[in-house]
Amino acid sequence: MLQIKDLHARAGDAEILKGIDLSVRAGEVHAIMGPNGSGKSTVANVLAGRPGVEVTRGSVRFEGEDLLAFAPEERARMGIFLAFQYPVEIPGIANSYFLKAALNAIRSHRGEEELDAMDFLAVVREKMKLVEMDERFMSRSVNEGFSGGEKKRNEILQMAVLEPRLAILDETDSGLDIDALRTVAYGVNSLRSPDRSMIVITHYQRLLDYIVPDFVHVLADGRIVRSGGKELALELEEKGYSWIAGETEALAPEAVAP
Amino acid sequence: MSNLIALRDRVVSNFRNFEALREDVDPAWLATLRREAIERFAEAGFPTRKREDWKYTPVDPIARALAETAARRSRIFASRRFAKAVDISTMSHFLVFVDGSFAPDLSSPGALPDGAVVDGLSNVVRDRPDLAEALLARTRSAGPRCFVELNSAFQSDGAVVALSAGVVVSEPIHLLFLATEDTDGNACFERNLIDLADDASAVVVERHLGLGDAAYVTDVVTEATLGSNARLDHVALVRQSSRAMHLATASFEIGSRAQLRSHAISLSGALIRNDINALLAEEGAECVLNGIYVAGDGQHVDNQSTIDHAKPHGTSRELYKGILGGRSRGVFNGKVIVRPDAQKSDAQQYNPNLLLSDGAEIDTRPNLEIHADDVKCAHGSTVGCLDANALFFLRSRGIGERDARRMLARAFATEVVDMLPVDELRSEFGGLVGSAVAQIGELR
Repeated sequence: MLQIKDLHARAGDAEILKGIDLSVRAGEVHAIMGPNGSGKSTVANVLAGRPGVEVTRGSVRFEGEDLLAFAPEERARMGIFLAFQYPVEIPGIANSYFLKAALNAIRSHRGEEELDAMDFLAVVREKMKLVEMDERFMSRSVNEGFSGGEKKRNEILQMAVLEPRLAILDETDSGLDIDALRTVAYGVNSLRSPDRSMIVITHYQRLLDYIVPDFVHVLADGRIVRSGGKELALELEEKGYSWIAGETEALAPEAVAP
Repeated sequence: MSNLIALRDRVVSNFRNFEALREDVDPAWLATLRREAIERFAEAGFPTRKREDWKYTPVDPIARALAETAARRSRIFASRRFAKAVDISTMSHFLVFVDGSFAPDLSSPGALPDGAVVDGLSNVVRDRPDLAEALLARTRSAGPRCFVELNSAFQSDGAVVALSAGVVVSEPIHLLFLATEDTDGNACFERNLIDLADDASAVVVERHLGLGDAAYVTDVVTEATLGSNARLDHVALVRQSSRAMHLATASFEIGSRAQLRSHAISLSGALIRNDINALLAEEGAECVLNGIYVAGDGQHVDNQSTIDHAKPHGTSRELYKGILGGRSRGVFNGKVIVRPDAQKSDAQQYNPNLLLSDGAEIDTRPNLEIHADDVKCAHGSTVGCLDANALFFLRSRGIGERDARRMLARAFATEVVDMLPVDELRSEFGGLVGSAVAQIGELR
């Protein structure tokens, strides 16, 4: 589904990604872990097409297409979804209005009929149960005055409604207490399916107790320095990132080899 | 400068012709009021750019257009063309004015309670001269107000809304001012007089609509007085033709514990100038001044406001929001005065602006003039562009860039739209702001 090859990217003057290789097949859940500043969020931003992040080398193919050639909205319509680390507050745009516009943009791209207000409401009601959201959130402005947990649940609601092929969750656990984390993870898990892939980006292993990945990759200084199964996350939790950092230098020449 | 003097002289000489045409219509007292006004205008002349309130808006093109206006009597066609521009089916009370004159055949004041007068000014002059004279003579010249004087001299018609003590008109009173193709090269001088006695209450909605692509000048003056505990919601929508110049002065005198809510929504016209004056004349008076201005390529919108806290315990809230695109220019010059006597005044004034293009320009000058020591006052202005994070967020959900920009610009205005009275107005005007924003968005 997704092939990232030798991806280099910069934001401003700083080179952040220094050669990332990653393949994600349909139905797989990959976790990307790493210390602050390792480039985790930049991977997410490159995939979603955030302006200001410049790809200097490498390629990203998504379902056979050159993903980097598409605008953010086109990527969303192709099935990419980014759950934001810091969900944006937009006063003056009602959650329901925004989400209906998004869903209809995606449906019309897929050649499906646009939903009217009634049908949309039926879809949303169903999905809101997944993340235990109250219907009154739909008439409020997007994320305005939402608590940290409510914002993250709102992100997962959007994911549930838009039904992406590849979901990227950028530090979805940050700022969540344990109850909110469980709710969010429950929502995410119920969206796992054989034809939907996920990339879960996190600093802490904690989230992976709830969203169990098929693969774990450790990012340090813009490179994947280690890949393994879910047990790698536990090892990291035990030994800390300094364990990887200590090994990074030794691994580095190998990691940059083409 | 000398140019403006020549133009002034031509306007004064136009008045002589106008006066001759009005001879068989106007009662003597009205002819006198007109003459006194033109004399004050002749003395003060057109304002120059040296005046602070005319620093950013060129007077020359306005003066030239007024000087070239031929004096004539308006012809009114019993046309229903305006039905396309506005939906009257849900309106309980509406007065229609075509090219500056009242069109009784097109109007429907509807069922009104006793003690309510809702009529064209020309009718009131004819049928209730005492009331008309009392209302018209009230115009005091507070400093040189050129376009108010010209309006007093040339006014051809307008609306009168006069409610006796305790009278409440709960449905909005709609005033529709239509500029047709016939008004090309001409000027409309409309005068609206609103008088709410103690405890009276009304919602008055002015719509100024250009029906074609004519070039004309509108000089509209609205004067309102609110008695004790009276409540007035005044809405002014400007959707003039792309070649029109629209000059509007609205003055409100607010009585004890009375409440004024003014909403000025300026969406189209080549040049729009709004002067709003709110006098908190008695203790505990309250005013809310809301505004939205949207301007695209080649448009100029100038908002001037004065809120005068004359007595203690007054409250004022002013929020004007600007959305500017293309090569457009916006001005906000707002003054809040707190007089020495006006202790415990509470004033807030904000002017946020959204610039959608590099060519758009805004001059914003919020200012406070405080002469009392026990007051609560705050003011500020901001100028910014669309939030890049929010734009990316919407796009990342599949919403196209142009739609996302429109949604965000429209959202910026929502706070003001939401303060409009009546659901129907919020939805209608919200939609109009949205399409105005969409239009200027194309010219980015």
